[in-house]
Parts: sequence; structure tokens; C-alpha cells
Amino acid sequence: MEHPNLKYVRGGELPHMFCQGCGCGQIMNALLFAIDQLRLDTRKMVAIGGVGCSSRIPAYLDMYAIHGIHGRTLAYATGIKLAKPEVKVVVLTGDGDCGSIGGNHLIHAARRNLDVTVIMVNNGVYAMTGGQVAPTTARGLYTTTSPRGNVERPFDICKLVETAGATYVARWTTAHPGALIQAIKQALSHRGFAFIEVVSQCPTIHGRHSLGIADPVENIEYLRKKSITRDQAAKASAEELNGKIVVGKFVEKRLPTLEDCYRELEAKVAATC
Amino acid sequence: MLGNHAIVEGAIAAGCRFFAGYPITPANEICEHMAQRMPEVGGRFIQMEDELGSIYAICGASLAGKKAMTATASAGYNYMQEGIEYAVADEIPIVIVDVMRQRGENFPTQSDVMQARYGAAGDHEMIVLTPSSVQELFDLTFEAFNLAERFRNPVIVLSEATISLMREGIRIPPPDQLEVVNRKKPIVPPKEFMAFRGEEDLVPRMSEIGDGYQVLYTHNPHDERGRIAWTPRMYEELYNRIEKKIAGKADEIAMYDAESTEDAEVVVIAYGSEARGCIEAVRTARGMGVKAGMLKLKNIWPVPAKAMQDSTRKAKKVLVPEMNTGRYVHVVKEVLGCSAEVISVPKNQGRIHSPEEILSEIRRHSSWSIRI
Amino acid sequence: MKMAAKTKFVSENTLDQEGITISSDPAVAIAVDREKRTPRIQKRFKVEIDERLCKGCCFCIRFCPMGVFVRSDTLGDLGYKMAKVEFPENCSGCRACLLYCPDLAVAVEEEGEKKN
Repeated sequence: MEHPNLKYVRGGELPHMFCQGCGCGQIMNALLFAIDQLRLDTRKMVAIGGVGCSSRIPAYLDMYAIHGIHGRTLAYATGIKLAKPEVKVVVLTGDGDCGSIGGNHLIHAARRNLDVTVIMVNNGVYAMTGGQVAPTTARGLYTTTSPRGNVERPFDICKLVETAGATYVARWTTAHPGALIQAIKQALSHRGFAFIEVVSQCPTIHGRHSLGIADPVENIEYLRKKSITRDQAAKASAEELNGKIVVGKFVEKRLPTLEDCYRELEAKVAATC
Repeated sequence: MLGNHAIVEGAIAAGCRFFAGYPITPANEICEHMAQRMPEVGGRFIQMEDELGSIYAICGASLAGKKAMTATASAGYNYMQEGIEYAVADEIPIVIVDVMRQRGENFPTQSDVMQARYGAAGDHEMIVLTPSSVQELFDLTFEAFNLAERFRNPVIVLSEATISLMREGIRIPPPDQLEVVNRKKPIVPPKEFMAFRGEEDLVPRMSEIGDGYQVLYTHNPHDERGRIAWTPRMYEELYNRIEKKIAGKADEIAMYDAESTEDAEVVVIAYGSEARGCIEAVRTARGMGVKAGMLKLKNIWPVPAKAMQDSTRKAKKVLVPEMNTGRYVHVVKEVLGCSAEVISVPKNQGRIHSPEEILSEIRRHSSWSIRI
Repeated sequence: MKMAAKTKFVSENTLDQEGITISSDPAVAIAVDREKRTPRIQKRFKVEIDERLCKGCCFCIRFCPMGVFVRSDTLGDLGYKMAKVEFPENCSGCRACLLYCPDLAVAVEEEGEKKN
């Protein structure tokens, strides 16, 4: 008897290196449920991670996996998709890997409507390296590189990619695994740049140091209580929204992908040659 | 044909079907010509958002089975070092063209010769080719792909602003006269496949994304299956093999032209566009009765030590003219320092030595003197 | 999804709530007696926790609607106080534990039917 998703995990790799109560394990779980329910062929998939806790997820999946350089996941993805368009690409990245060092590649991949699924795990801190401030750390919070409280405003990365041109954008948290699985299924089935931000608890670093909550269950409860759906947020006032995590699907539209544009160009060249 | 265009044609002849680049003078024509040619030959071109995107995109494309290349100049080459380190660690065949230029300016230079070899982090070997004419830009870019596929390593083609932006007549052989080398594919089923186990030549077979072999590519120390293995022994074994697969074949890889070196007392060792003036000077010196010889290096890394030793058997002086403050001369000193006096002939003005300048250096260091 | 406070089990294939049939799917035929937390269920489930993988985060304890899991004092292979299966007979097969477990340490399998 074993967990149904163990068949998708690289043999002999578990237990994974994630901490007790880490959201990364839950997100890996949700991704595998989505792959299972969609009956995807993992031999035709590749998972790309950068550097960081969430970027370690691809190493545990029994499919082609790239544990690449910090921040460059979408550059790898661009090369792979253009070289072999039939391969399904899933990018697992973090708020720092994707939003900070990888920010440039993120906005250009979204602009190009590259046909990939990006799952960005947002735990509000650079956890792997010990808890430095991240572009999504809330104002005022303690981190090792903001010891007197973060003075910077955080990013809303969902709005960023929406503006850059992403055609599927959603945000969920690890406290909503059912909705997350549905969103991942939609993203994997979506043709175009699909971006899912998953707000995750980090009991060991962000929870303990910044929020003052060490217990994993309390951390995930904190996320659940702070979540507010998109429709509720539309009716709420600015004060009510302060500090809340807006969850839901924000964008879903169908536009020509980068592959469609290349095919059109190649057809034109073939016609003239 | 323009030098930069010859690079593109050499790449296409070798089977390159993916190019990612970013505009930078003096490599712009490579990007532009690739944008034109790639769709014509069934390949794909993309202008990435920066050099970082370029190097990683070609890593991804190579892992997906395509022969891939990027081109940049010295400043952009700086950015690519981590990508090169990744390609070395995961044994990804890619070709990078670095059209050397001075910092911030478009003066020619040869100052990247050390960065090309040592720029990437970590212990590694590198194959660096140094063409000296438009014909060699075609030939050596073609050869670069063969070497990359054979050794599963990045290969750098060090062009210069001189030859890249020069036009010369070249001969492009028909396809049946060109020998294209491709990477070795797996021959066992996925469960038995060891993605990083070297064969006799220390080079592993390479699968491609989407073929069911489910390989994990990580730049962390990894075992033969590709799994992350943080053990000192694994680390040492992995990197020793990666270095040795090239270092052990340095003499086989060596490409050079030796002229009049059998009895030469003064040998000029040069690479890149510097070699153009040197060969003329050496021939003139020979005509005057000076026992001068010329060793033109077409690859500077891995160091072609045997070629250097063979061409300097009778030499008392070895001149190394370079378009920098003296870089590769230290390597030559290491190889030949005990058997001959190695003299640096640097020129750091953004232009190559003229034949007259080399001739006067040869005269200065030879036992020949004019009798008027 | 709200659980009915009191439901009447009509037959193997229907669940009658105050005279209205709300489901004909036997897998949905779950009735809960809130006071005793004793379910009257059709199917039996086997629940196991893999001691090699459990890190004791207690998400299964928190999110199981039927109270199947409790905290144990046993240290697992990884040195954490794990969760353990205390009331497997309560399991309704909702598999929320499988969704929430970060370590893929839980397994749920249908065992057979029982009648209450």
C-alpha cells in the first residue's frame, strides 16, 4: 500500500529533503495528482527547476528534469520548446528564482506566450539560503537581510505576468489543494503561457523568523485565514484587503503561442523558397 | 563572404539548427544572418532578452537534441560563464562564438584567451579554436560542432573584430565532402541507461528530452545515473572524468600549421589574426637567409604541447606576438621555457602587428645580421 | 461542503435526506453523527502511514474530517514525532490526507463493505 503518486517519483529518492510541513511537498503532490488525472505521458514531459527549495521538486519526478542555474528556468524552457515543441514543459520555481534573478526571462516568456506551465512557489523568503528578503516579502517583516524590517514594497507577480502578456494566471495556496489541482490541470491543458502562483507556508524559515509561527499546522491555517477569493476581493474595501491573499483564476484567454508564430513564419519561408 | 557570415555557413554545414543570441557589435551580423538562414534550413532562430537567456536557451535546445550555437563579443561572453559551467558539468554540446573586442570599444583584441579557458567556475577543460581568416572561420566553426558532439563539451570559437568584419573569398565544400560528427545515442533501454557513465573515450552516450530516458540534469555533483550525490568521492570521479576526456586527447585535438620549423632557430608562435602578419614576416626572413619558422595555432586550448615541442626542436628563441599585454605567452613559457627562450611580443593598440614589426623582432632575436 | 446533521440511510444506492434523494452514488453515501463522530458508512478503508517518510507535520490530523489520525510519541526514521492511524474505522475515503500530505507518507485503500 502506498500513496498513489509514488509511481511518479524517481525510485529511491524519497524521503525528500523538504522540511517538516513544507509546501513544496504538497505542491509536488498536487502536480502529480494533476498529471495523473489528465493521464499525461511523462515520457514526453520535462520539469525544469532553478535553484531554491521549490526548484528541487523536478529532481524527485520520474521524468526528464533539469536542475538548472538560478533564475534561468524560462531560458531553458524557451530553448527546449523551440527545439522540440511536442514536449510538455513544466517549470517549478520560487519567488526569488522567478521574480528576482529570473525576472527578465519571466516577462519575456510571458510576452512571447511561450507554451509552458510555470508553478511559482511563493514562500516570501529565500529559504534555501537561510531566509533572506525576497521580492514578495511583505513590508515590515524580519528577514536575515532586513533585520529591522523590510522597507521595500513587495511584487504582485500575478499582476506582473498578466501585464507582460500571460494567457493563464491564477493564484492559490497550499491550503487549497483541491483548487490547486484543478488549476494545475487547467494550466497543463492550456496552450500558452500558464502561470500559477502558489503561496506556501515555510514553517522552518519564514514562519519561525518572520511570522513568529513555528508549527506547520498553524502556518497553513494562517494562509487559509488570510485567503480571500477574487470575487470577494472585488467587493471588499482596501482596508479589508490589506494583508490578504487574493486567490482564484485571474486570466484565461487564448492567443497565438510562440510556436504558432514560428510555424506561420516557417510556412511563409517554405512558400517562397 | 563576410567573416561573420562564414561562421553561420560553417555552423549550418555542421548541422546547427538552433541559434539564440543577443545583439552586440561586432557579432551582430552572425545573429542577423542566422535570422535569415535558420528558417531556410529548417532550424530556429530567436533573439533572446539578454546573453544569459541565450546561453541557457542553447543548453535547453541541445538537451532536446538540436545542435545549438550562440555568438557574442567579449562583454557578452562575460555573462555566459555560468552557462558554460553548467554545460561542462552536464556535458552538453554547445558552440559559442566570441568575437573579441576591447572593453566598451570595437577595437580588435586577443585579450579573452584566458577567459575563454578559465572564465567558467569550477575545474574544467575547454576547447578553444582560433581562426585567422574567413576561410578558417568557416572551417573551424564546422570543426567546433564536431568537437562539441564528440566530447560533449562547450567549444569556443575565438574570432576577432578583424576577421569577423572582413570579406575574403572562401570555398565551401559540397556536403558529401564534409564529415559531420553526431553525439552518441543510447543503445540500452531506459532502466539500464547510465546517463553519465563514460565509455572508452570517457564520453557518455547522450539521450534527448522526450525520448523516455528520464535523465536528471543537475550541476550539483551527481552519480552515473545523474542523481545528486554529495559525496567527495563522487565529486572527484565526475570532474576528473570530465577533464580527462579532453585533456587526455590534447594532442589529437591539436590543429595547427607549421611552416619551416624543422631547422628554425627563431620560431614565431601566433594565433588568430596575428598569424597573418607573422607568416609573411617569416617567409620574408627566410628569403633573407634567416632560419625563421612559424607555428600557427588553430586551437589554443587544450594546449597543443606536442605540436609546440616538435616545431621548436632547433629553436633558441620563440616569439609570441599577441594583440594584448601578453597572455598566451605564459602558456608557451610553461611548455617550452626549459628548452628555448620564450619572448613576449605584445601590442595593445587594437591592431595587429604588421609584417615589418614582426620581421624586425625576428631580426633582433636571430643570429643573422645585415651586411651592407 | 456542509455535512448533514442527521441523515437517514435508505438503501445501498440512495441517501435520503428528509425525504429527498440527494445522491445515487454509493461513494457519496456518507452519513455522520456529529456528536459521536461515528460514521455510518458503506465502505471500509485501510489507512497506513509510512514511518520512513512521515515528518510529523500533522496536516492529516488537522484536515481529516473523520478524526482518523492522532499524534504519536513514536519517533519515525527521520526523527520526528509522527502521526499515526488511530481510528481507521472512521475513514470515509475522502482522501483529504492524500491531498494534504507533503511527504506522500499516507496510503488509503478500500477494504470492503460493512453495514451499520
